[in-house]
Amino acid sequence: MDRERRQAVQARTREVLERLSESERQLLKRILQIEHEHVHQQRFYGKEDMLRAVRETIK
Amino acid sequence: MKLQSMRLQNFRQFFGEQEIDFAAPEGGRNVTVFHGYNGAGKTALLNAFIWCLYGQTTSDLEAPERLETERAVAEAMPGAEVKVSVRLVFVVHGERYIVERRRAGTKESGATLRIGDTELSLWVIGPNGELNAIGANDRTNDRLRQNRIDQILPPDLYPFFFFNGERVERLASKDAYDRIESGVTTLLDVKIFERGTTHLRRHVAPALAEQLSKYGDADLQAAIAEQQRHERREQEIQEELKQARENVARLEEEIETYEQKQRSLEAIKDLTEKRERLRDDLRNCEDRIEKTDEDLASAISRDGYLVFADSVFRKTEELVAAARQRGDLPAKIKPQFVDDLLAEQTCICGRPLPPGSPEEAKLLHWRNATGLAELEEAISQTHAAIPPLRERRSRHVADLDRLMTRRSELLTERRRLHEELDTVEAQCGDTAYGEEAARLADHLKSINRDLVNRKADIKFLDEKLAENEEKRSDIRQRIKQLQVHDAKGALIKRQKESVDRVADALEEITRIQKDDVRQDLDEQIGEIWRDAAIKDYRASVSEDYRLLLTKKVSGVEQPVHGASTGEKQVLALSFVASLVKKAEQNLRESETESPWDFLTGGQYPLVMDSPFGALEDDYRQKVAEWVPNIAQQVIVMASTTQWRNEVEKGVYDRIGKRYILELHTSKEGADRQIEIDGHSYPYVIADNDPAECTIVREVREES
Repeated sequence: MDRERRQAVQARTREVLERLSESERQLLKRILQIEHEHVHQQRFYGKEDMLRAVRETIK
Repeated sequence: MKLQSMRLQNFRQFFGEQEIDFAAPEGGRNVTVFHGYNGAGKTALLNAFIWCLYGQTTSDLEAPERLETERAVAEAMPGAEVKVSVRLVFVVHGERYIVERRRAGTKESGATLRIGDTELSLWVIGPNGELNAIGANDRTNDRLRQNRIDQILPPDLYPFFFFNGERVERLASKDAYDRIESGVTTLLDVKIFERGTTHLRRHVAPALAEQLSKYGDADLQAAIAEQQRHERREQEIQEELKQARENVARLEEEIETYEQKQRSLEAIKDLTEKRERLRDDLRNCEDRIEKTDEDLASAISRDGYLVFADSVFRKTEELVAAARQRGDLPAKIKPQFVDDLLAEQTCICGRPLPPGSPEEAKLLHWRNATGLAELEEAISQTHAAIPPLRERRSRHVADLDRLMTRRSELLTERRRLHEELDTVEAQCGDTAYGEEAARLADHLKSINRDLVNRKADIKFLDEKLAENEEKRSDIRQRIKQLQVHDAKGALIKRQKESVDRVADALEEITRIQKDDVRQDLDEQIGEIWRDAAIKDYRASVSEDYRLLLTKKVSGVEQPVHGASTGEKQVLALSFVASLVKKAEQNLRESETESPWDFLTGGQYPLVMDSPFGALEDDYRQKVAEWVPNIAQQVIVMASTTQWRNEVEKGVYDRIGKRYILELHTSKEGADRQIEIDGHSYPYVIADNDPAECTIVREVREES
């Protein structure tokens, strides 16, 4: 049951990712990485990092 | 996070420097126990963890500004420095950290102390045992070090892992829902996705939109401005919704408190009990209405068309009867019969039928006339199906009648129950039962009125949000169609569109993850509760992360009203346990099959002050047996009354380290001993020093 649900979650996540272009998928992963580094902060300090990620991935 | 050791220096009751090693998570003996008399420093020890990691203390710590041991202050000479510090050693993802928070005060006249600034140090121990200081070049850069600690265990999560067991039920209270949702999403890494969506929409997309508007004409600029207006409006609505939900939760909590007070009034005991029964009946009735509506919908979607089919049946029968009367049906010659004659090239009278002969041409003409055989078959089948369909139609109409009658009876029943409930609620406030009863009923009436309004606010805001979302989507499409001046503008437009798509994808992934996390927690908490609970209640997590305790009444799950503090505590502990398990599971999975470039989940210890304090005897042993399995590492502080035989029995085999918080007091005759494992140890020592203090003594097995 657990295993099945986990696989279903992974499949649905994959489906969402597949709707994006390769560069958009890269951008999404970069955004998550930035969030992972900042998630504990009440205020958000990652705007410039995110804009840089956009400029570097979407050309 | 695996806790290894702690060093206390003049922290609250703990005089001088004192070292504590914690039981390791491995090897099955994962519990560290501290036995302490009232005032010996159990709550102070819990606060030592929190202060060391976050520089904060819990709200139940008296005089939180004074952390330095009284005795250290008393013994210091005027002008001398009094230091307080807590050092903690722990391991995260294989890396060993040392964190130390300290401050130095200066003794002034009397017992006053001028308190200095707090400093924080953080080191990572390298593979060869070397200490690598974080932010070493900047002694004042505490924020950098604090950030690193917050990354390891975010501050909004510590109430789940370092808590006072006597107040743990607060985690299950309605006003804690927001904290629970925030804690769950952070701990289980959903917050990363949620924040990613928000930050892309609130910071990155507007910055790109601003740049983009420089590369377009007036139409594009107006469209971008409109889009930003809708974005801002959405944020406002979200804030208002959050506030409205908090209001509803607060009012529901108030209602629960006032009704609890009503239940304790002997004069209206019968009435409040009747009210509970009526509410159970009402919920039951609502469930049956819902079930009847579902049955009706399913019957109509399956057979509803038959109600209108009678004229079609009649017409079909008339057509078939007319065709029969004319002799068109059944057809006189079957096509297969003619095909066989043609294949054999011989007529039934024996005359040959050579290809191309006039006889064969005649027969082919007949063959074409028999082409309606399939149609005849279909007509015949349709005609034969009419009687069973008529019967099914009659059954369906009878079913609809039955369900509609049932629905109408249930609606009458619901109206009656509402009226009766109104009467009982009014009776509860009758002045004949005393002023207190009348006052409580008045309060409840006004809170309930308020609650209806606040719920309407939520509905209204939900509609506004949907409306705004639609406008946002339209404007996004419009911007897509509009032209920009040059290649640079086209690039920014592309980037903006990609950011919008990535934000949408993140929002969808957040929904998927949230749903998964909730379902998982719901299953885990249900399982853990079943293991710990005495009563036949069911624990679950609702769609909006509310902790629910329900019972089955006439086959229907109903919320439990007036659960005891102990039951609420076990519910909260079950919730914490399910969180810890899910975080551990996430870590295991992310190490092997995560699509992301970072680890999710983690391992967390539980540090609990007096977790058995308010539990009923039945629960005490159950929880004691169960607590060592909640987390990989468990640290418990308890007094002798909280740590009775059944608790000792339940945890005994899992204790890896045991300490006594030996309280030194000047009170004459206060001496007490504590019995552990057949041995007697000093527990409270009356000595001559006027300032109380506590010494941490390890109880070793061989002693």
